[in-house]
Amino acid sequence: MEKVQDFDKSRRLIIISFWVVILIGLPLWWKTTEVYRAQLPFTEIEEWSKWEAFDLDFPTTFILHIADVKSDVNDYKTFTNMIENSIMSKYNSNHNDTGYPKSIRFPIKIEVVKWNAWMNVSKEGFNSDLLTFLVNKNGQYGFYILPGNNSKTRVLVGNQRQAIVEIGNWNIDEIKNIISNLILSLFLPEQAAIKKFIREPSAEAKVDVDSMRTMKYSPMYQVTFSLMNGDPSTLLVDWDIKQAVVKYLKPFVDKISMISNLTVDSQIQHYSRLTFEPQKNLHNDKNYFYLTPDLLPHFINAAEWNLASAVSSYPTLNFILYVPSKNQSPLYIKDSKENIIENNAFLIPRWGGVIINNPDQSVGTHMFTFDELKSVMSIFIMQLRGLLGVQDVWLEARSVLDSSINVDFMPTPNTAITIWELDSLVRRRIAENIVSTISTLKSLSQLVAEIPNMVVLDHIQTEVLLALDSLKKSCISLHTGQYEIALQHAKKAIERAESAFFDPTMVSMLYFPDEHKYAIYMPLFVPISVPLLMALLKELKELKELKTKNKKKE
Amino acid sequence: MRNYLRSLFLFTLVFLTINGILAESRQPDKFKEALTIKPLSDGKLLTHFQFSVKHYGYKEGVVFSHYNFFPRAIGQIFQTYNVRELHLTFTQGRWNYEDWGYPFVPSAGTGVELWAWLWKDGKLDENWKSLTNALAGLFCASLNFIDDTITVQPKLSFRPEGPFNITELTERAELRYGSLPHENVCTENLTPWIKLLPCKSTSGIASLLNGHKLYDSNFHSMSIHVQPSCEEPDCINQQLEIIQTVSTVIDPVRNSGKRDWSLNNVFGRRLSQACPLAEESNLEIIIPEDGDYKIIPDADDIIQRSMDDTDDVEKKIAVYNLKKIEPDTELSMIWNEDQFEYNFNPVQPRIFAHRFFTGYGQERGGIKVNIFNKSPNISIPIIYYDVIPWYLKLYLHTLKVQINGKNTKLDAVNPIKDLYFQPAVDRSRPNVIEAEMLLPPNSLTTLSIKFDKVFLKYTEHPPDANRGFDIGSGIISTGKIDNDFLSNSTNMSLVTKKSLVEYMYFPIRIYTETLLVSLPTPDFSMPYNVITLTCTVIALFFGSMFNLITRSFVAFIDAGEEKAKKKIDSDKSNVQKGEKKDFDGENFDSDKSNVQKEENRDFDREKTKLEAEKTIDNN
Repeated sequence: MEKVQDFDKSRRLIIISFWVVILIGLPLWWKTTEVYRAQLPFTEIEEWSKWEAFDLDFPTTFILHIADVKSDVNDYKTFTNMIENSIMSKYNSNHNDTGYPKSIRFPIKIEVVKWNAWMNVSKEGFNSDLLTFLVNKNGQYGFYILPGNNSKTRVLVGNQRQAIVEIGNWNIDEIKNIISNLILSLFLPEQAAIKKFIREPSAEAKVDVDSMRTMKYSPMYQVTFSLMNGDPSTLLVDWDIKQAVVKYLKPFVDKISMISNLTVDSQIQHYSRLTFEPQKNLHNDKNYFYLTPDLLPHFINAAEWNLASAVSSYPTLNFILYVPSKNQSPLYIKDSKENIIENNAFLIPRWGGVIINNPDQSVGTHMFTFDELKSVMSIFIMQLRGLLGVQDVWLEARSVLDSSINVDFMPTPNTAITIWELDSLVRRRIAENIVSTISTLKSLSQLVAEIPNMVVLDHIQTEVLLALDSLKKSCISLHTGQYEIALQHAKKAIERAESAFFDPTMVSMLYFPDEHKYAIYMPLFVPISVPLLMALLKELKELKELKTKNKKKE
Repeated sequence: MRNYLRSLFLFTLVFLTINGILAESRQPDKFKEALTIKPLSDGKLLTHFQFSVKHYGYKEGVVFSHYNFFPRAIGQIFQTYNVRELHLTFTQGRWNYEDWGYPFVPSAGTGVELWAWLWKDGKLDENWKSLTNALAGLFCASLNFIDDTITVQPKLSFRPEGPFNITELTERAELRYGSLPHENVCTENLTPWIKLLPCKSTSGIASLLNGHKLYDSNFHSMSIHVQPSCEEPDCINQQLEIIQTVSTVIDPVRNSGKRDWSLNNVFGRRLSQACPLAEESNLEIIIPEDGDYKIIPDADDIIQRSMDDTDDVEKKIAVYNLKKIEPDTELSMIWNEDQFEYNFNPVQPRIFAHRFFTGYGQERGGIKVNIFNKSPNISIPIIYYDVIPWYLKLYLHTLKVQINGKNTKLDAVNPIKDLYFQPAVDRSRPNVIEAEMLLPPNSLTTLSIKFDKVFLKYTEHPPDANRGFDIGSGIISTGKIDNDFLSNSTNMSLVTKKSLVEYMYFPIRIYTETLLVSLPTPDFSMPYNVITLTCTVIALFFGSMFNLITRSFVAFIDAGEEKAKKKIDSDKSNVQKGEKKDFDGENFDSDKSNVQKEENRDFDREKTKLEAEKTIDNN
């Protein structure tokens, strides 16, 4: 009897040891066949995407230089508070802050300075005299406030970050009213845009016409000017584009380079024909052809015009100067009300711009000279501004302000972008980059979570960590109002996030899908597991029987 | 980080661009186009389109970014990857040197051939890789497959075709060569090629480029050459020149039995007008020396010119100026004969070659190259160049040279003057043979070398593994024979290896056949079969072993037999006892027999238990 028990015991031991090996082996096998996945900071990304991890501050400081005239403005501290309160109350009445996270703020700080030298300032000497007071930092603006000669209020905007405000009715309420209105009207459109970015980053394209037109941010754009000639057999064309680019475009390129670099090239394409026949004017004796708005989307002949860049992976902005062939010229563009558009140009959102030019075809050759290109380039630069998202701050302010206030401008240097516009663009691009970095990181973490077969290498982890680090740094710089530094960090953040997301290794492993694995291991696992399972079941059954037997015995 | 560096690089490019703008001169680009038609001695017709654009004011290292006739796509690639010279050829079919003479453009190896001189800028290999990728994208070809295992740096064979200074070149630039013999060439490569032309295919001779006719030919080759060029001898002002060519060999005899041809039946189109942008637009017919024929209409001009670099024989050429020609002109050549008589003794070129595989089986083989020198009394220097992929392991000691069937071992007769050999490294670089040779007059020189075939990993085989692997053409470079050289070459020992390469320029290249080698191919389902089979065997083994260990096996014994068995057992144990006593000692044995007895008893007990159970079950 003992022997039987011994035998049963050793058999049980054998079965148990087999199962122990299997139970240890399975996780080991699972572990060794796993794909490598570096740990990503999921929780941190989640915090960012819920706007819990940070505050976005866009601080602005206004330094009000108030002319030292005998008036009630003596207590500057109370005056500062008055203006700040007035702005806040107007601001709150304009906004209901329910739609966006509380962590985005636009603190406005007012400093009031007594201005003694105001009498010496004539309008002509305005700029050079005020250079000493120059505040050369994004987010800090100076207003020079002085009493006017007549009752009308005038604003003169300078080339730097200052403006002269001439107030017709010099009393404290009027000053307070005008200044707070002015400040709000200057910054409300921009703030609204930034808020929109943050509220609905994915639906950003649908927000408004401006953002539909604007290119997605890239650290680099390729700008290509193409002279398209419809038929070189009747007209040979050439242009002095090199000089035009140097003279007209380069100042703008230099200015904007703090946000994005632009490389410029040009080409002439011959035999660039349209894919459709333009409509012929039949109404009166005037013999011309025209394009209707519904034809414009088909204008670009993408199949035949060599517009793609062979080397750059950055987005291209195309500007086309189109010279129609003789049998289609002159060619004009009509708007929806059947009126011929004056500058004969149109903009293609997120793509580029087109100008149609109708030179004299009778000579056989036409050279677009440097001077002739001036008007062409000015249209192109206008379109380029739109595509890069440059918005005229004062123009927008003027539309908000009440019409009694006159806004004038100092003659601007030939850069096609003012410092006010550049500042505003910097702030909007910072917000845009931060938002799209976060959404890219969010998509990345979703992707990694959804595809378990995807290898996540160490350098992806590093890129993600660096992107988060840059994000943090960008937000910290924003707090202190260092917009340039914030922009640099935001640029780095988006570049790193995108390089992690678009890394060629970030694809699912296709070689060993689960089905494949099971198919291969099936012939091994099934025949092995059957006797093992049967033995286990039998053993358990016997144990049970033994127990019942023992109970009966008792 | 890489992106950051890249943007930095492009940022500097912007500055260079702006500097470049100021440095560029205002002379406009020049465009020339020409179509040359040559009746060949075997009744076929060679048509050769050549388009060239010169960009003036090109300065090495100064980026230009404003393009007129010069194609922007090529200009960008050329400048971004710091290329000094670029040659890309797509070829289908084999140029038949014996019947056709030498082609107008030297590159004629089947498949795609790309070679480029690149400036040494610290990331030359990266540039070469990007260059192949960019060109692959531009021409819809598999050029991106030119990787390290294919890329070669030829030492002797390829010189720049533009102006160069040998010391400056070797110090500052390097040559890269890659070829894909298996690449098919078709319309998807031609379309982007045509788009690079200033007039595209809308007007000028390019309007004759008809894919249907072009690819229905015995041979066609399409190429792009980008190189600096000079107009004055001292070469101060350089231009950047792009030469685009298409050569086809068409067989008019196949259709009509006659050699007659017209533009319409060769290209399926008529000549419209010259490209208005072209400075020159000519159609040239090289007039055969003998035969009764007429060309309609009459040529504008007939000139004499020597056509290739080997012989100084000037040929008569009928020239039509397309700027003056009337639209829709039909050009034709009619031979006064009922049927074309094939010429069995064509005038053969001086040097030509054939290459083939020797040996059998899937383990080893050999390559043999026959190089003919047909000139009756001149020794001709050549450079033989061959790239053999790493999966054929060449053995240099098996390299044999024979002249007219006789082995040459003595140095004085040995035609090999110098030899560069790069042994292959598995999966990283190919074998390269470059041999400078002096071919004796009227001779057949045979090079042969043996190799082993490598058994490839099963993932390294292409999808059509049983088709085999293409081995690119061997290339023989030779040139025009200088008179000075001839006088020197009478004393062959004077020709040292140094003088040979520096002495002359080798503008003619002769391409041998491409070869197809079949490597041992595995059964590709084998791994899975092996896995399933092993799994099954292991499972079977495991199952039986497991059962053996965990189950008790009991012999079923009848009651009557039991007694008899017991008796036998006891006898046996006694016998064992007696036998083992001598060396084992008594105690052990008695223990053992006891154990056995007990075991037997156990079995009995169990058996009775089982029987009892059975009876219970039955009841």
